[in-house]
Amino acid sequence: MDPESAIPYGRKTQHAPALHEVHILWITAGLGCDGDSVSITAATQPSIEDVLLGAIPGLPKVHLHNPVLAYENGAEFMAPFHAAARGEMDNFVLVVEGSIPNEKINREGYWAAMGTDPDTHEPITIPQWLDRLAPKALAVVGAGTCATYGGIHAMEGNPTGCMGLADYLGWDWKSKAGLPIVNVPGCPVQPDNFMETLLYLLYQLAGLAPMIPLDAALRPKWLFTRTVHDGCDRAGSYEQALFATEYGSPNCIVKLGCWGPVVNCNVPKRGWINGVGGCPNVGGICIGCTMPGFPDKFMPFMDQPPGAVLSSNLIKSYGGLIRSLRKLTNSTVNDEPKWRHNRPTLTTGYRR
Amino acid sequence: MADIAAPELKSGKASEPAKLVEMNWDPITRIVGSLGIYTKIDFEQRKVAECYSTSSIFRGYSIFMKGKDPRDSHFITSRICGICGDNHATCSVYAQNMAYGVKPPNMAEWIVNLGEAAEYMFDHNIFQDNLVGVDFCEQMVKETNPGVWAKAQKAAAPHAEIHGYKTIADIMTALNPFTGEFYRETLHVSRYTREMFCLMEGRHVHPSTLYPGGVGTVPTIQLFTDYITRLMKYVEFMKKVVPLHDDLFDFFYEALPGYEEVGRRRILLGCWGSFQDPDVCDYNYKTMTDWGRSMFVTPGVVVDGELVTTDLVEINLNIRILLGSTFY
Repeated sequence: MDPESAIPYGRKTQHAPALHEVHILWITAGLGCDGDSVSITAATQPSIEDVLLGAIPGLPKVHLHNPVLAYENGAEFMAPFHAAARGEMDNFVLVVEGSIPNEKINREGYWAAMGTDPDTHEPITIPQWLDRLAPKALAVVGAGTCATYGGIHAMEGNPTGCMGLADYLGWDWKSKAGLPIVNVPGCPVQPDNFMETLLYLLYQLAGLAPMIPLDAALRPKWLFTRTVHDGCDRAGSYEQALFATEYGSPNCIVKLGCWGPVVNCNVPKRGWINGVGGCPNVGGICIGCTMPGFPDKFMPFMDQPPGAVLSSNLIKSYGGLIRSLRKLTNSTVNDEPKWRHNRPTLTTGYRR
Repeated sequence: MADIAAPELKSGKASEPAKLVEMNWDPITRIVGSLGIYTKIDFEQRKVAECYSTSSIFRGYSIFMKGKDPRDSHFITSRICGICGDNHATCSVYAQNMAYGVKPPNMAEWIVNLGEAAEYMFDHNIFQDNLVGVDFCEQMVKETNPGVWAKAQKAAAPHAEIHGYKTIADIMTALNPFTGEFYRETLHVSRYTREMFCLMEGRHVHPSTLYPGGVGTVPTIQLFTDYITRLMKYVEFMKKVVPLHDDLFDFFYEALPGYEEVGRRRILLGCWGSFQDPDVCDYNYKTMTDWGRSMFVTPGVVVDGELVTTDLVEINLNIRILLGSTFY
């Protein structure tokens, strides 16, 4: 038999990934709560075990170094981070969780550190880790709003002066592989949003996908272009000027503090976990947690956003009218045609 | 493993110099948050001579929360922790209810109770088997205690008929991170228990539907059907999990004499209660003793094995926050 034709078709058209193995060095030691690491354990599309056990074809072999999940402890856990800093690891993606503290403004001591410098025996601060690892990483990914834009710990009056990755590395920063910072915000990040982005990056690094499309805030476009309002099933209530004035109502909650119309996020559309839950779609006001302006530009969370005062008033007359018209039509179509009855005559309009 | 420094000769009495080995574990992994442990161990005397714990992250909640609208408190304090943030939010809501003098509708209290109950279920699974369980897995036992692994391979699991693992070694293999079958099964359970949580509190870990004075969740027949169908899957699963843990931990006590000393210390337990009874709790300080005792998990303080109090007012008045080694 001709050796050429003995090779299965799939084998001929597939190509080996450009990258066979990749390490994910995940720093949770920014100013954070580890909520994003916990969140990824909730993902199913793909799940963390799908990626690590090679259930998705075309990916490189992935080695995850995340302290919340790691088998190793202490110095053994830190070894790959030190190796990468020394330039002994070519192929790693740096994932950062937690805000980057400003270590230039404290007197003595530090705000956040991980591990100890083998030469100076001093703790290595998070900015120092970024200085050592970012230039050598294939990509730098922000997991959660703290790492992407500073988040809760960066609110007005905070003592640490903390910030997001792009504030520290520069918004125009590019990795050695030419990738910009990839921000996947959310407080915490929605489980599948992160794992889907990670999967895309692994495909890209394997040479199977083009440059990841990001918006101006460095968020994956396909996840963050539409707003909460675009995806919320209560937008219909909004259109009909049905606004909740108390909690527990199934109607639109802009009057109770929801910022949905101006927030870039897909959670009401895809749910929180496996399609279950979310924010305004289940009665929780949107507090804008995917946005660079979070939390300050949305506080106090419990007050009606100024824009909502305007829009909810503007839509009153239209909404009221449309509701009555729809009620009319709805009652008409809730009645069966008259010819469906049990009398001994056929009145359906049938002619012999 | 641990960072081990060369034995240090410390001179005490001329006749008895103690050899102290420095062993450090920083970071401690498979926890949520930052922790490092630094010790000096006298192996000859089989004693830990010195031990310090350190946390290497400071955020400043008490500082940046000052001057903010108190109605936002629970949204902010939830972010203290990424696995149990909802507990912080719930306690914040309880405190706000007391401060504002509001009592939520009974249904709201039940919804919060169901959400927090789901949280206990999720947290138990992910913590016990995906985080702690790795300490008892085949890989860990082989590396640290090959003799125990050999014993485990020959040890029949007393409840094999219930959980399906024939030997203790089989249980250990099933706990290997990611490759272990039981590790993955428990991870799956931690997901549908989080679905239960999200039904009641919107999203995990930082809830969206909790507010002072009530919840935004819409109580429908569908909501509770979705919850109970998942709950019953969990009950079925636990029928297998409890005997599995019994078999595993009983084996450890038998295979490693002295293991029962791990964690043995003065009995000091404190609990400020969980799950309010809406028929009793009015969030009034005057009646806090009574509604505290009506909680479905009652508050209490145990010192050296003795129950000292179950009075939430007394417990609250005796809490002290020690600021000696902090930023403040």
